[in-house]
Amino acid sequence: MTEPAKATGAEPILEVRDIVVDYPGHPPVRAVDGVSFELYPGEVVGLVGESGCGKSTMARVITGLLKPTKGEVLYRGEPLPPLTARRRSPKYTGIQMVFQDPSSSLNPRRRVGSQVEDGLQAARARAAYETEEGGVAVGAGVKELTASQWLQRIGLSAQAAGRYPQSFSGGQRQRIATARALAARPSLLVGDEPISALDASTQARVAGLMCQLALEQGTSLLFISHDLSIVRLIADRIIVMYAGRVVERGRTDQVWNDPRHPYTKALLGAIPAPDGSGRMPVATPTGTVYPRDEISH
Amino acid sequence: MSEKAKNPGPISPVGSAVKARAEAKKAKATPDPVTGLTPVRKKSLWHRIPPSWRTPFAIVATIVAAAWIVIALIGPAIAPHNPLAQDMTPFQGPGAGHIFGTDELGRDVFSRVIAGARVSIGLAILLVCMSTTVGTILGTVAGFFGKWVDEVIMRFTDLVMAFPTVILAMVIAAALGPSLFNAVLAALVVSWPQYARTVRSMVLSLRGADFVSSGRLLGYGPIRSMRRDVLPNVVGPTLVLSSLDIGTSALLLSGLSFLGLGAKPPSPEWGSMISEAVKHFDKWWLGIFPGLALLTVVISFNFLGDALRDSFDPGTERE
Repeated sequence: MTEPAKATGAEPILEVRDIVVDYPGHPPVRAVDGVSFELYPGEVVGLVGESGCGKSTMARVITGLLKPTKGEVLYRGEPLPPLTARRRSPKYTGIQMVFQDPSSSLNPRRRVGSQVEDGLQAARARAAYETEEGGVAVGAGVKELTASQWLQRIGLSAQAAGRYPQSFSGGQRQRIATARALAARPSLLVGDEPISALDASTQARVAGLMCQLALEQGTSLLFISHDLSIVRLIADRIIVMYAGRVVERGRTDQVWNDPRHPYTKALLGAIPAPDGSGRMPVATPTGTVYPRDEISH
Repeated sequence: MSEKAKNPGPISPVGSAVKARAEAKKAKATPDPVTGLTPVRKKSLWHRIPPSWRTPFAIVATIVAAAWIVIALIGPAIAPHNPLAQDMTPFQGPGAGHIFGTDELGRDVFSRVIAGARVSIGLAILLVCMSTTVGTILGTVAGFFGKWVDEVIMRFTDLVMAFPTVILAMVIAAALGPSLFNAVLAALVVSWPQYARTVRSMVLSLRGADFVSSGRLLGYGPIRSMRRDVLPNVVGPTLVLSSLDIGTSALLLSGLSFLGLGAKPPSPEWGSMISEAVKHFDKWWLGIFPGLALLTVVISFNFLGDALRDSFDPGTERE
């Protein structure tokens, strides 16, 4: 496993500082309560936790789809402006996202080829912008693929470009959404539970492909999932969230082999074991309240 | 009683032929010995038509509506008389020379009904196209941008919808002066808000859809996002709404003409023909035929719209 880039002293691609998100209501719901972490270039980080712990909210904050109540998101050292009705500057199209629901992650009325083409166009627009600014675009040395080449790369036929999303399975759609996001040559790809709606046999495949393609072009990956057993296969580091807070973080082998926080231990215990005995996984006891303080390695 | 009726059933040659065909079909549908899968029987032409179009109402409506559109298109070619030509014999009852009779100026009612199809259906379709376009654009802008843009547009639709449709249209048409163009304009003012409201609510739910968000992350501006991601997903349901509205629009325009706020004499228009007929109540053929024409147009286009809606949304389909 590669050493986290933190050790090499590189600048983080993304920093989130003390993010707090309240959803309006009486009283307001605090979905995220002071989360901070950073992500380094070429790194794969898994963000895990049970549903409702604030993972997806974090994904929306990081991409700028949601403005946090408090805290800031720094992308390449600069504050990331939240997405408004206006067009997002090519400067920030280096953050892409693959969404959870395969039935709505692609536009049902457009051919998938042209949707992947949009990603390529975004990459071109940003390359032009960064050349103008004197910077170097991510994956500048990598040869540009066409939309149908991208589709072949994710294991579909070149003819798939002319089809509509309805004619693909959930797993195929998530791969197409990944291709579109990665065709934009992002510096950071956020996968918001991209595999949770897929069946077990497809999950590992889509996650692995996502990770492999991202790393090939130097894209950092923030992989959000509730499934530690998949995350540990691809992540360099794991961040465990519980009730809107980070409760544990560390290298994947540390978290997997030596979980310190009782909640992480419970999460690991809840992974079903394929021993064929039909034993149910240990359920996380309902009503248990875990401490929300972080335990570090 | 005939021999055949006494012994009905499979012995008759027709019956056995039917049975043989059914057996041939059954034979084709046996499971494949290799894969064990039953091959799907090829659908007949009839069963390829979506179920919502196979109801008797939908079939009759389609035929009637299609006939009216043909009449509207080729009207002058099939009209036996010039709809404006005056005959020296007014108020002839329906008969050999004039199958729907003649009116107070001796004009052929049949030819006028046919000529009126072009005016009524043509203008109704034009009106629906215009109100759909205006409503869709304003509804999309309101739903997409939200905030004050939404407030302004939606309060304006509330304003229009607060008045009874026909009365507001009458006021506007009267203010603009009686002419067919002004009647269409007045009808447009009262009919776009329903599209704006419907489209806005669809856009509101689409705006948060994942594929719209991912388009925005790729750097789509608002115009591109609306054109590529939002509008194509709004068009289908909106067209259904429009098709349901054609009949109502024809009725509204004819209503304005009936009140003297639309078509001016002597142009043949169903509404104004009916209003002339009111003056001569004993001459039943003057009003009945344009009235029937209007009735069949409204009903057939409404059933057509229903069938269209059902085929877009199978959930609401009637059995």
